[in-house]
Amino acid sequence: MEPQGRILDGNLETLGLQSTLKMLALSGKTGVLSVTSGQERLAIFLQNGHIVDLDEPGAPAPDLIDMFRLLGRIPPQRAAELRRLAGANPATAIAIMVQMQLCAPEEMPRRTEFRVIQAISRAVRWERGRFEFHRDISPIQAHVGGPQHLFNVDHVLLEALRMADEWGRSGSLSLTRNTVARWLPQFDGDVTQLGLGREEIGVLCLSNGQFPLHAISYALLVSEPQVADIMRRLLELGLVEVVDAHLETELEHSLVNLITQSQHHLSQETRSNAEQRMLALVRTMGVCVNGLITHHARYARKLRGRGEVPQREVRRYLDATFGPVLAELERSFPRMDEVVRFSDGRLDYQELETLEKVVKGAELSDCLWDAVQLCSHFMRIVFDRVLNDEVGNSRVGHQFEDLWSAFLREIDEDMARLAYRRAATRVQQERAAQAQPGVMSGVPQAYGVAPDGRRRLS
Amino acid sequence: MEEPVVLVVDDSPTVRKIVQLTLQRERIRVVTAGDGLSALAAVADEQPDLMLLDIMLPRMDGYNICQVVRKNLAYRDMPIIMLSGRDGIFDKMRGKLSGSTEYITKPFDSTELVQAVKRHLETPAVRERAAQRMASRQQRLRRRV
Repeated sequence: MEPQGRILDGNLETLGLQSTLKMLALSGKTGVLSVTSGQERLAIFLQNGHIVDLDEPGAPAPDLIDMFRLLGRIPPQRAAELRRLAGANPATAIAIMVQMQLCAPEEMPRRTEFRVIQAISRAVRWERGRFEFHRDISPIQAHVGGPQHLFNVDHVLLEALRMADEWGRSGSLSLTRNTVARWLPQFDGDVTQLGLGREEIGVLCLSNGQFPLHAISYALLVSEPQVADIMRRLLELGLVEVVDAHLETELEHSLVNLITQSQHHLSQETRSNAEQRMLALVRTMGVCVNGLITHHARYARKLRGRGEVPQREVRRYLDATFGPVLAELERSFPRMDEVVRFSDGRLDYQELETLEKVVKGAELSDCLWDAVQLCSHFMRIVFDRVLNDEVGNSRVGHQFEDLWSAFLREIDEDMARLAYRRAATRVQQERAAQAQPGVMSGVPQAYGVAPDGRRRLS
Repeated sequence: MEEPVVLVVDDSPTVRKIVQLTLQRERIRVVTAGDGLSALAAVADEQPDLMLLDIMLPRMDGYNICQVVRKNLAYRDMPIIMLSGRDGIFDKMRGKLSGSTEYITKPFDSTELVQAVKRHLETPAVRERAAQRMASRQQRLRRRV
């Protein structure tokens, strides 16, 4: 069926976007000009020959609230409130920010104009595709909710063409509008000594591995080619790196699944005695540590992009990275020396499974408690190192820190319950020993261990 | 387009965070609740498009929440995906009988979760609810301005 109100359509090869827009402006038309080229789509809203607004269907809206928060333009508490009120719509966010006096009223039309120019500068470079003009104004009414500003088509076109030329001249050909950059964790210099300008600092602040170049451009109101040039400079200075989106997605997926499995492991076997629970906790943490290490063997910065690395080399790297950490921790838990080991690129805690054959009663409980504490410390250090090496101080890194904290809280709660149970058992046994005068206060007796070395059921 | 809203009900803060992180990346707004009664309050306050529901919950279990929600006409069609560590046929059947739409066993794969959520969110009813939410938000905004 023919869409209603269509008064003009054609191919971009025959009539370019520039000419079509000029024609509609000269005849003072009101309606929606839809342009498509491959996967890209654009809807330009016109009123009496002026541009009112523009929509890019399918393109994710830039997260303006979060970017403003990172730039320090809005405090974090206000950001949460704004998000609740505005949802994901940046235009609504700006309107509310004006209301809250977080930005000047003139910023609203400036941002709309900037967005229109950016999008048209991209569309004027499309050589193939189709356009259609519809007189139907309902999409305009639905899209432009607040006060309307009219933009002159000639001015918009001039700016858009200038910007398109800038992209052509830009030396940052390898960077595209979808490039995502991220702060490099290894940078240990003084950023203030680098003589960065205001815009460069802005781009640096927003290079958190999350926002694409075009979103940064919109947040800072700096043209995309200019942002690309700044990003290239930051890359040269070693302040940021370009994120490999595919690798990053894979890495995040692997970590999320690892934490999901660890949490599931933790939630099992809750109804057991203290020793069994301690052993279960060690197993959960052990599985988690080995999962993290297997993950790191695949995504460690040193091992990335080198094709298939020999297993021996991977194990050597892992032993050198994590082995000394465990050795250092074991100084605080000497009982765990040789019981929990790091060898062949993994944490070996198998000795703990048969520990009850070697030690009994309170001694067993104390050993397992040491193992729980050792594994807990080790797991935290391994995660910090893995995350810092793989994603650094980026937004993804912070999100994982958040998720990890939630998991650690569950581990800590479990450990606190165990510590309480151990203390309660100890008090109970001490009281029982005091109530039995004449009984020798040897360690096995005091901790409720039968002469044959087996724990008494309390 | 307004973001769809998913309510995640689980007593584990880790699971809540995992689901939040996974779905937010897909541009889905996530609200969370840690127990049964907070879940019912969140359904009324946030009017979610979909609910991910654990079974073992403090104060009211997942089966009961499911039954209570289904009794309300406004949420009769809301997809409810049960997330549970129990993978027996009996548990799955009980979930189905209490009104859940799908049953996912823990530990779940994040891709599997996203696929299931998207499958249930891409329905005309959900799109209509999102449009209504956007209209009411704009109305609120206009009133403020």
